[in-house]
Amino acid sequence: MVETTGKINSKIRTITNRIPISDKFLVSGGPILLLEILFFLGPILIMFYIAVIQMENLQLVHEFSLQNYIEVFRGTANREAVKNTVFLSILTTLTAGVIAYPFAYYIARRGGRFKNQLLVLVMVPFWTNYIVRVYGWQIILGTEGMLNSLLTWSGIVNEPIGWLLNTNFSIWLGLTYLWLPFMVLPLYASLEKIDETLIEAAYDLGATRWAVFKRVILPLSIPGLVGGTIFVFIFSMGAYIVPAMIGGGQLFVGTRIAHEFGIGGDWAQGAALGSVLMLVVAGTLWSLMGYTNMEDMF
Amino acid sequence: MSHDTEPAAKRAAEALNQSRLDRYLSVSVTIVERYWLPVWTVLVFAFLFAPIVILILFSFEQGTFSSLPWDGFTTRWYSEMLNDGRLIESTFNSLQVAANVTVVATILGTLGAIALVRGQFRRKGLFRAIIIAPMTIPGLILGIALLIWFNVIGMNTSLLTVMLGQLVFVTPFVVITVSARLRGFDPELEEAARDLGASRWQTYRRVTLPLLMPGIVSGALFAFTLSFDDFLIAFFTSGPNNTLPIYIWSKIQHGTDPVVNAISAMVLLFSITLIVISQLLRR
Repeated sequence: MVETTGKINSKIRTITNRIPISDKFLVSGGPILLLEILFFLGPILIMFYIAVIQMENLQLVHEFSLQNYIEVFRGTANREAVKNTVFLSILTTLTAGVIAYPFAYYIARRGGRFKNQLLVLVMVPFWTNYIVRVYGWQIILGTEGMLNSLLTWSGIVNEPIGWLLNTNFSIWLGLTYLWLPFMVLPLYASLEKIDETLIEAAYDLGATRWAVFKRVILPLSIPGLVGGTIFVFIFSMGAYIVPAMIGGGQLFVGTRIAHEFGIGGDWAQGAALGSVLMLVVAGTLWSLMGYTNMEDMF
Repeated sequence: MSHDTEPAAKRAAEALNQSRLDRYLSVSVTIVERYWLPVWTVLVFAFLFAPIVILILFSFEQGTFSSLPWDGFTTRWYSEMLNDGRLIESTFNSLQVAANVTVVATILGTLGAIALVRGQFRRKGLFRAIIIAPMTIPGLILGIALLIWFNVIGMNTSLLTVMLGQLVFVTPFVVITVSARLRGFDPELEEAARDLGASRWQTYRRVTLPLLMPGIVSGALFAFTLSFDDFLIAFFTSGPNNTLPIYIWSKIQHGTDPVVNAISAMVLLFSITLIVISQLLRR
């Protein structure tokens, strides 16, 4: 008798234990899930749908074809834009990695008492309005800008340098500038975690500075490097502000998309470009996500 | 003998020179080795802060072209800024959007963090992916996708659609900030409260929430900044309404404008204040 009630009790307990979990999930995880399904997954799926229909005279016509996707790679402007975007994104990712690595290393491992203050200094640009900061570069780099007036005034050059603004150079500089903190922060997180005793042990065993870097520090910082690469590459591929503000008329996927949704008036074509971009983003995430922990970065 | 000493002396002098050169080289190598990292760090900071400092400096410049040499100090652009009705209106819009987004994102994000850290359910990996994905996709894609979506479901674009769109990528940032805090504290504290006779709600209100507070507050500040600074979502989903970044954008389209420098300086100052507050709260 006592045994059976005990059994029944424990059975009831396992059942009630099971129900609150799903209940609790609906209360706590439900709202955000609903939000992301309604306004994230839904819109992305509809974008893929719009990409395979047509737009004629500013009206969507439900005729299925892959014409828009073909146009992404066959149309001269689009093809050049894709090429230029991929090239500049790879270049930006490499540059950001080279600039950020020693910087993050110094703050993480030599920062000492000031480590946290230095990190806050990195966050300041990261948290301030990007349009305003890109506008700052416009002031610096223009033909009548600060840098050129400084150079001509001091007599280093005779006439203003024209290629500083509205060229691939300025897009490259702007993207590197804008996404640099996204490379620094994950790198910092993984470099800071490295156990000092590992480095000391390597030195004790007679390793040179270079060997310690190559065999100990670099391998242990791979998660940070990969995390930064994911962010910088994806954000460069999808950039719009930088090419639109300081890129002059240089062809770029982001500006092509905005054009199709604005005066271009061909949403279907813009959606196809957006879908291709989305596939690049998903592919990058899918292939690199395993080497890093995204939640560690914030 | 004498013609032997000469080359010997020469050799000695050469050797001395050589060792001196070696020493110079090794000293300079040590200097480079020791100081290149701090010098590099200073240069990168200069790069990161260059446009911010330049904007603030030129917001006090008299000349209408933001160029050197310096023409003189003025606060004229700031007073012109205050007389700009459309600027005031778009700033008000931005603050209103950001306030609403912050409240909703903080509540949904905190709940989501509890589900993510404490919840035990199947498909947790999928849940995590759905939360992380909106933070990683470029704002441009989200912007156009939302524009199509609101068009298809027949919702007129307004400040409401801006808020809905911003919530999509702002809420996950709150989830990540709060869940970091949630992971950092011991579940045994809650168990102890339960053992001492507290109800589930009491435990939640008196133990869990106070311990989470720093994470929630910094998540909320993060949400506010992200929403206030957002351009891309608002650009595609705001309809006829302006937010502050859209207004700045439309002004910049006509070239550099000293009033924009003043506005920018104020925006920068505002964001920097928020960061400092959030960092102080994190301690």
